[in-house]
Amino acid sequence: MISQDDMKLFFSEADDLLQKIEESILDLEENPKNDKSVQDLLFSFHTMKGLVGMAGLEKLSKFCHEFETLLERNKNYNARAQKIDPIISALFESLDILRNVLNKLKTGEKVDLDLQSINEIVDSFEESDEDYAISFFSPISKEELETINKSNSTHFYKIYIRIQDSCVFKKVRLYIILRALNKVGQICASHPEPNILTSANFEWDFELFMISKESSNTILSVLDEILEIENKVITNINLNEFSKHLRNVNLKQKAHVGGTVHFEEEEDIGMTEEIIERENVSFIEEDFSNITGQITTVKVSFDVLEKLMNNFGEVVILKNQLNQFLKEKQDWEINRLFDNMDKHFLEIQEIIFKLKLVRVESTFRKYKRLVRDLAKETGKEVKLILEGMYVEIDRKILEELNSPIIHLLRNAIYHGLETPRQRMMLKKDKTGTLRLKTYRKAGSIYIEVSDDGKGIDYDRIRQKLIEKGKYSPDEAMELSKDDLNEEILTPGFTTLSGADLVSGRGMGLAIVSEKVKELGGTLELYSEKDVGTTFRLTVPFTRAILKAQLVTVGEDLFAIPIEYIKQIYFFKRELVEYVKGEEYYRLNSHLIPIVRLDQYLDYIITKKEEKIANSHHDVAIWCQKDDESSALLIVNDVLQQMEVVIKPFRSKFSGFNEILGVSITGEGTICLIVDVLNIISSLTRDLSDVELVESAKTQ
Amino acid sequence: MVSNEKKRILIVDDAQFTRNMLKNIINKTNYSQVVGEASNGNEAIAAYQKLKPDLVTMDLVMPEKGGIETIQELINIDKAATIVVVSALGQEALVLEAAKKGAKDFIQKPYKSEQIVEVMDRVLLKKNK
Repeated sequence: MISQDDMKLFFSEADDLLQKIEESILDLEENPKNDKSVQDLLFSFHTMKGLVGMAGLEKLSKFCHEFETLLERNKNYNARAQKIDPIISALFESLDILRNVLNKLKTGEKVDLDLQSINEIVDSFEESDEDYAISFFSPISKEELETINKSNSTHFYKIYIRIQDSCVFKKVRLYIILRALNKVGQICASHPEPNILTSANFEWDFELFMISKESSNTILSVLDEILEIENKVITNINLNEFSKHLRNVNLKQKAHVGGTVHFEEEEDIGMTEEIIERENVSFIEEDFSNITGQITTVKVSFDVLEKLMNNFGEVVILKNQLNQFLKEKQDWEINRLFDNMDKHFLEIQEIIFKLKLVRVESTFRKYKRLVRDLAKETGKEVKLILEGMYVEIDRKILEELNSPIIHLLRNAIYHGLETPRQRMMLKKDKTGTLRLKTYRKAGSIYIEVSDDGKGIDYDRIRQKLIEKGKYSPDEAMELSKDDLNEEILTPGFTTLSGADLVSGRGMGLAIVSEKVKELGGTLELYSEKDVGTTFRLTVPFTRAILKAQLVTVGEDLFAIPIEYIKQIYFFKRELVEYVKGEEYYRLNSHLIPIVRLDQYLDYIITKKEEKIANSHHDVAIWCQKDDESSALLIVNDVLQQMEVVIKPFRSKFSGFNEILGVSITGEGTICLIVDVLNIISSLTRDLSDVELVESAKTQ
Repeated sequence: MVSNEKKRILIVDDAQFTRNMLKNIINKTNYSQVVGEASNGNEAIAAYQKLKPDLVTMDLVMPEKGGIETIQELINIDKAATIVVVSALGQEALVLEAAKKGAKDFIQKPYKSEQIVEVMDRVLLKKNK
């Protein structure tokens, strides 16, 4: 009997695989010639096959195997690119079936593995793959045969063909034979069955059953023209014998031709209904031990993590109480022990905070599928661009953001983007672009959903507001874009807006707005007619962690996020140049604007002013925002690098754009995290000037 | 078969060496003769229209215009064009593509001269009648 834990592991691995499969399918759809995605898919289906097989889900395992076969056959990218659509839809359908079965299994429900749909899918790609040969087979019913028999002018042939064993491309050989024979008659059946035959799974010989008005000599001469046939025997047989052979017509073929095969006595070969019961799911212990041997990461459910965090929180409170108590005791030895313990406590705290963080990609990658399906549904062409997938965010917040983002994506596709035709008329790219961009700034996570669709028609919104009686025509004209945006996001706006007004149904937007507010965030929107609409969600990342370089400015400790640091230099005064009274630093052939962090931040650390004035700057940190903009931050000293947990400022401090948040180092010292991006952004105008100066110089 | 009226063959292959080999084999038979050579698809199409050969041997991987595309165009020009693919090992999908586009038959490199003779025998059989 299988244990609960094993089941959990099984489902968690299966889920991972499903996600991987989905991503690979999307990759493949984007770039059909990419062999890597096929390789990935093959691997995933193979692993899945093993996994579900071990869990006793034999039919499901076979099902995965079918897809492996399909992928194997389409390894050649030329062949694949031509029929990519049926392959992609078959893959997606397979994914849904797998997911469905596993989900039902998860809830303990007895699952009918829907064999009907499985067959349909397998057929659909059989068709796409084997149209090269299977289309030459045209099954025939008993009644038809009898009618034909009465006419007397038709012959029933059994054709034995043996291919030379030197033949390398059996498939093509078969294709050429079937194509030639198909011109002189109707091939009804084969031995082995057509699907086996056409996948070249035969030795060197096979039999075809064919009806034809032509003489056996004519058929023979057709075969004579074909190379690599070692032996051929054409036998004229009678109806009875002929129909006996028809019974081996495969089930798959039956599905192809709908109802035209009518052998009631025929059984569905091996495809009896299968009911998967939970009890059937049993791991084989030995095999299982092999798998655990390969696991390098341990999966822990979030519930367990949540418990760990809560308990740790309690311990921290107790620790603080203990600390107070010990201080009163003034026992040096005990205090030393306590301090040691405290260090480790901080470390654990950091680890736990980190555990709470997940990359947004874990959720956002799934939107690719959603967008794809919605685009198909609406007949629009949409390209989803994901940016900033590596931004980490609190898992809870990410979960809560899921439905608002889905809402925004839906709206953008349904109402924002135009149909390919409309877009062409507007001289836009036929394919609409949907961008989901995530970034971190000033203690918050920003998530932007933007489309390059029709945008918001603000005049119509004014009109609606007037109709509603909320504003007089004069007042409405006075309303700015921002005012109108606010109106759109107000609950109740929907009652007066048509679904086509905004790039979204007003109702949904109000809900999205409410949801984001609940999370302590904001929802803004920017729109321009015919250019597009951008929704920007801003949410706090309660406790995010980033790797930072600790530096000192005066007596104070600052942290600079490492991701923006390009290089650290000793500051040399002789390299400073002045342009329009501003300081620049010459690095190779570039002039980088200098930011003396002490001066830049002086209003924050006024108390230390004296000391700063006396200190000499000796380290220059080159920080880069993007390829165009960078700055040289001058600090007093460089200390160690560490992972800092960001605690955003609350209320009255939040006005500081230069500071991302605050953190506590391992020693318990407070340090401010410098918002490099904001500082560089504030310099951008100066930078463009520098570029001008530079180009002037070079000329 | 009327004597003096040898079957006319067009060889399409980007490698001079392969063309020479094929030419030697074909010209040794007393009923077929190489009337033209082409080193890519475009040349092949031009030569075909000019020469109206009885059979074309077609390499699949060639610069500029490949074999598959060329077969398609030749069939468009002349539905009855008799094209035999001469392909390297490991190109099954390509050869199948070629067959679908209308190639009559195929042989694999490396071939023996008897195989080429057999091609001439079999594939041109119909035209002999």
